[in-house]
Amino acid sequence: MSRLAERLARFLEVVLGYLFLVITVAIIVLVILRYFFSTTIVGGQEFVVFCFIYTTAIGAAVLLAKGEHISIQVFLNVLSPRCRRWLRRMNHLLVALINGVLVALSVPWIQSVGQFPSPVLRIPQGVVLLSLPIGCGLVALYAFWMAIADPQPSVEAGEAAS
Amino acid sequence: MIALLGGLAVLVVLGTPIAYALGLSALLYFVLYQPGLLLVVPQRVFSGMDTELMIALPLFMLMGAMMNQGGLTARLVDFSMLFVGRLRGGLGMVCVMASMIFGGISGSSVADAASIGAVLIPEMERRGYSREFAGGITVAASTMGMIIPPSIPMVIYAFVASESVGRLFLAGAIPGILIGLVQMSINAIISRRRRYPVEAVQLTAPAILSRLHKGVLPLLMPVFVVGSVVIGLTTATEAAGVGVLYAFAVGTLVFRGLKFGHVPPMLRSSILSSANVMVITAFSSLYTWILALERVPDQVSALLIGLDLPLWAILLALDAIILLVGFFVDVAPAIILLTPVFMPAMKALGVSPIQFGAILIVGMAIGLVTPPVGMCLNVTSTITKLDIVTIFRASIPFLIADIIVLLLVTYVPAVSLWLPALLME
Repeated sequence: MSRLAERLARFLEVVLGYLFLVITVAIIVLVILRYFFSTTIVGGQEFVVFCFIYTTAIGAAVLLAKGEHISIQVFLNVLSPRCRRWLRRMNHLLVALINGVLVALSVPWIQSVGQFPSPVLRIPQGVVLLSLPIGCGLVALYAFWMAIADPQPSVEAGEAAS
Repeated sequence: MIALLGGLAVLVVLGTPIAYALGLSALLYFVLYQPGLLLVVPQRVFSGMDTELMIALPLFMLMGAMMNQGGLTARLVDFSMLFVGRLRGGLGMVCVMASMIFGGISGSSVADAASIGAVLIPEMERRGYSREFAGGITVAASTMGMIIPPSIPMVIYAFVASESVGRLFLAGAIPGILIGLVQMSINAIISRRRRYPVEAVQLTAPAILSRLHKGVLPLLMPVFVVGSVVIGLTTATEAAGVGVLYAFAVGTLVFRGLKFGHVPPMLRSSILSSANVMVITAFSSLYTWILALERVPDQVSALLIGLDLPLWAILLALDAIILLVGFFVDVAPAIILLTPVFMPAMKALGVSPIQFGAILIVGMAIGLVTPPVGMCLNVTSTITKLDIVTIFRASIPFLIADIIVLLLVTYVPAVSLWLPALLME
């Protein structure tokens, strides 16, 4: 199970890398087309945003698998290793809970609005709305597995934008 | 509200990832008080991810990483040496100046501390500076990384506050430069007292041209990125995209330190760092929706005005709150959480959202170099092999510069508002 979880995380990370590559290239191409050729790709901007939404949804699962979500560990560090282990498990269960609830709540929401077309590309909005249950489902699975198996986190707290 | 705020505080203290602590406390609120509105939860979380502006975040990170891999740091050190190397404590001056320019390229204080520190700390030690001093000045100078434009936290603030990225970029320029100048002055005083050396810099025409040549290409990037956003030529996301293309071209063709093989890990690392912020943004969207529903920002605003205190006292308290939060909470979540709560109060008190953004970012920059969670401290600790308290103690004289500038930004609106008014009115 541990190996499967690691492989899945690695696979998802590669997918993220490709999605970001697509986003980067698309943005550069759109800028070049607009400023040098006075044209654009219809729906290009919308496509880029859709890809970005998927990177956030999938990225959340990879971050959990790598123990890199931003959290405050300073208070935990004064506790005994035994307490820390139990708190870590409890936290993973809580993360599984909120993400599981989100998956459950997403279903009726997507059923009610998912068939409406997106503003420019005119694809059903469900295609992009699905990113939420997919991402949250993956996070819930990882969190539940981590609550049971309790693998040691590689990094205690992530740092992103500073 | 007790369920919401109390739940959040307890979960954060217990080490729950901040994004999910926000989600869980919001869920508790809905279950207890608004069960009929539960379907709002996925909608709000999704709307927090659905943004074009925040795509600039991973692009800026990728741009900085590419320039750095290309060999930026050594070139900036060489370039800065030309201007300040011959002053007393020359390497300390170079450290501050290179950090100022690096900040304009990477937009990240942590990258600044890691890159400049790795090159200059060993060199400073070799030239007779104490290791504590080298670590202290490096860590304090790195605070400019997130203030000088283009700044990643400014993009996050612009998104949360729905303000102009261009104006915010410009609002950070003068405070960032002021911090650098005050830090250089403090370095001059300490270096004279400790008799730190001046550097021998050749001032022959070929040597000057060579050093200038090394600095020009990196310097052009922030000028283009910020300039194109400010004059409205591109959006922040487009400017960041073009910045990535420029960094890739310069890194591979001119600097030649960047290889194709370096790019995939950079792509993964940048998008994961961005996802880390975006997950918090997504859940905070739910949280701020509840705050608005409960009229919390209005209540905070009424409370502050009702205190009948002079504006200077309220602003001083605001600075203290920002610094206190910065001690414990990372920059991105702090911006995401504090902005919606304090923004209406600031507007009611006549403080411009742009100035509030500058106050917030300068204050949070100080948090990056204070124990127990200062990320720049951790990075510098790894380089110097000194504990974070020792480095923090050594950085205190230089952090005075940050505090002085924080007070200037707080009490002299022109420090943050003059440049945006001049260039964007």
